[in-house]
Amino acid sequence: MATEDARYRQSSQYRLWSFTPSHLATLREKTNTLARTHISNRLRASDPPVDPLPNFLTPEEEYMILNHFTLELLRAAPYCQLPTDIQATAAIFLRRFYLTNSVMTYPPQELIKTCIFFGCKAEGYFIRVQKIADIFPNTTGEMILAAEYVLCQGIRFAFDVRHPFRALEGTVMELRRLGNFDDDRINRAHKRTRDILKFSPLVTDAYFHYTPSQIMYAALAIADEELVQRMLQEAFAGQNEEAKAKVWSVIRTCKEMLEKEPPEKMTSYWTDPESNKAIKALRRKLAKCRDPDRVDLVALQKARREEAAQKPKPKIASDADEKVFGNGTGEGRESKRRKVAPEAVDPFGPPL
Amino acid sequence: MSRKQITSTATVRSSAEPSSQVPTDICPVCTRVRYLNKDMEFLINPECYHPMCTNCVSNIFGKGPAQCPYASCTKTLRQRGFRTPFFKDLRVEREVDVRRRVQAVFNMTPEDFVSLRDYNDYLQQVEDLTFDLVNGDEADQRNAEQKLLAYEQKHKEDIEKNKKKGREADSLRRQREAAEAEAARQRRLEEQREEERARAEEASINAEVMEALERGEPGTAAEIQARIIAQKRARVAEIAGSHFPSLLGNTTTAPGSGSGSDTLLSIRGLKDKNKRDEDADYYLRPYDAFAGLDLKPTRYELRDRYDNPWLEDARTRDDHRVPGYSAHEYEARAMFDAFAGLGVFIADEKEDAQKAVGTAAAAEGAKVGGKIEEDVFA
Repeated sequence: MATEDARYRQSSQYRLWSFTPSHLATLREKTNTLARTHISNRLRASDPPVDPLPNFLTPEEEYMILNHFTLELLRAAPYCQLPTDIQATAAIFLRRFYLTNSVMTYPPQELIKTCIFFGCKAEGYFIRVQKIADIFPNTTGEMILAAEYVLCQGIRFAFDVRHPFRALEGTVMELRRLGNFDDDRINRAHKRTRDILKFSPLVTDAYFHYTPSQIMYAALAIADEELVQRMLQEAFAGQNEEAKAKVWSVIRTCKEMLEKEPPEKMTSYWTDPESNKAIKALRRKLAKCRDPDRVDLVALQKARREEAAQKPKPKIASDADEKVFGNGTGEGRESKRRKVAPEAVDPFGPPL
Repeated sequence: MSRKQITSTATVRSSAEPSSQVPTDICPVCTRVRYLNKDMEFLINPECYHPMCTNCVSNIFGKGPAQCPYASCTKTLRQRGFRTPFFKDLRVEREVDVRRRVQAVFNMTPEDFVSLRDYNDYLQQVEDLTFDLVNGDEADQRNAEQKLLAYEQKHKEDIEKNKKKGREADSLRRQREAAEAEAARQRRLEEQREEERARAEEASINAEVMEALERGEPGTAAEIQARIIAQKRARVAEIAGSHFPSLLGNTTTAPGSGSGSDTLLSIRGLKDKNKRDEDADYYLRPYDAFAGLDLKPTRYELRDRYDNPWLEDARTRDDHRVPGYSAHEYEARAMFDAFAGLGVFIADEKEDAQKAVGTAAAAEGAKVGGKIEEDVFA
């Protein structure tokens, strides 16, 4: 057992946020059905009841919307001038959040901003909310903060996201040390791999299915496969071929996944009329089947705060005094009686 | 206000249960009054805890065992059993007696159990039994009494052994304390003696200087004086700084604990004394901050230096250096990242996790997520 793997298994990314593809699919389906039943119950209970119920999104459509908004996030993040790994953290937060929450429940365009803000916080890059709010149109700091706690719950308080970026630097250093390849080739592969890592793994489910080093080698394999082979040869020197072959097969499946979303799509996506049309239709559909309770997160947050503030604090001190001294001060007792009086209804109902 | 409250409850209680308090003035048996007999004393018998005055006790029970004079009490009492109650409230007196008795029978220590949990369970069991004895109704008391007797019968040997162990530990502790006190006394004496010696040395400086001058040693008078004072100082320092023989080192060693015992019936989690103590083994091992996690890399070898143009500045330029940042740390981390988790096959490892109960954790996470969403804005 390699010690590096044992150490990776300790991370929350492995423990909480790694799934098999089938598991991931069932999770998404479950989230979808939960949201569906919840919202339809809510609509039926509303006054007047909504009839007929709107068409709900399918898990596949939800996934498309999620991908769209991940792209939106990646498009918006450079305007905030954030380092690469913070952008990536924000994107992964968004994807993790919508694994157990439906896009029909929480509006993704709000969550994007919260994810960016909270990604900064999680990576130790402290930035004012107002600064981010100023960048986006029609946004206040309050809106960003409203969903913050929900987001934390959604990502199960696992704030540490392991990225493949530093791993790439390590690999490049090791390749330079080995000295089998000339610097130009390494630099070219390095640049290309970086571009891929900044985009492809974030808009696919690679982070759920593969470890950062596997993702990194897959991206490097897209850029220059020979370098990967050399590295694996180095890493598995003195071990049997079988282990190496297995790792290579995993890297290849990851590579196939990444190749579906090349970094060029970042620019072509916004100009491609077909995808624009598809997403527009989906967004229209989403607007109809939204959870009406959670459209305005700010108002909800406010209402909840007020409710918490108005909740009467238990009068521990005065009660305890009364217990000790028998008949306590008159007014304390009086207020107690007053409090009890309206509730003192016979639980079995009024006399017949 | 509060006092009034208390007295009123007290009177209520005493009228309800006349025997629960030791009377102060009137003997409930012979109705003699303290006013006529200043040194009247009340005694109780732990059979029934009915108080009566000393006169009554000697009158009724002086000629041998007799029935308790209280109406409706059928206990036969002997004079020998009577004693002065320690507490005024006889229910407390009785509870203390019961607890003492139970404690004498159930006298195991935390060391006899495998885990703290087991020990606490045992304590809970004992407390339940005690509570039944003290506060239970007739049937409860009889039941608990039987249980206690049965346990005592069955584990007579163990109880005896534990008692002995407790006594031994007590005497050992007493011995150790005495030895420590003695050591401290010796140390004080030694210190005193040495201080006296040092003072005597100092006092003799002048005399020695005079002697040296008389002998006509080389050098001026001032030099001689300085030399002698330096010598003295060294000697005084030597006396004061000498180490005391450690008297603490030779305390007696603890006697070996008894051999293995048979397993007990109703009490779980007792340690098997014949087995090696793994817990103790664990605590004897040196502390490992990573709990057995090996940090030595297996897939790569960390070199001292890597070629990286981006790191050059951080290494060489003073205005780029920051305290606490080391380029080598970064290299170590980057190398670790490059190879960590390479052999982790999520598709295989999380496969059974999905079906098994364990990762019901993940599925549950999803559920919790759903639930949370209900809670947050509900």
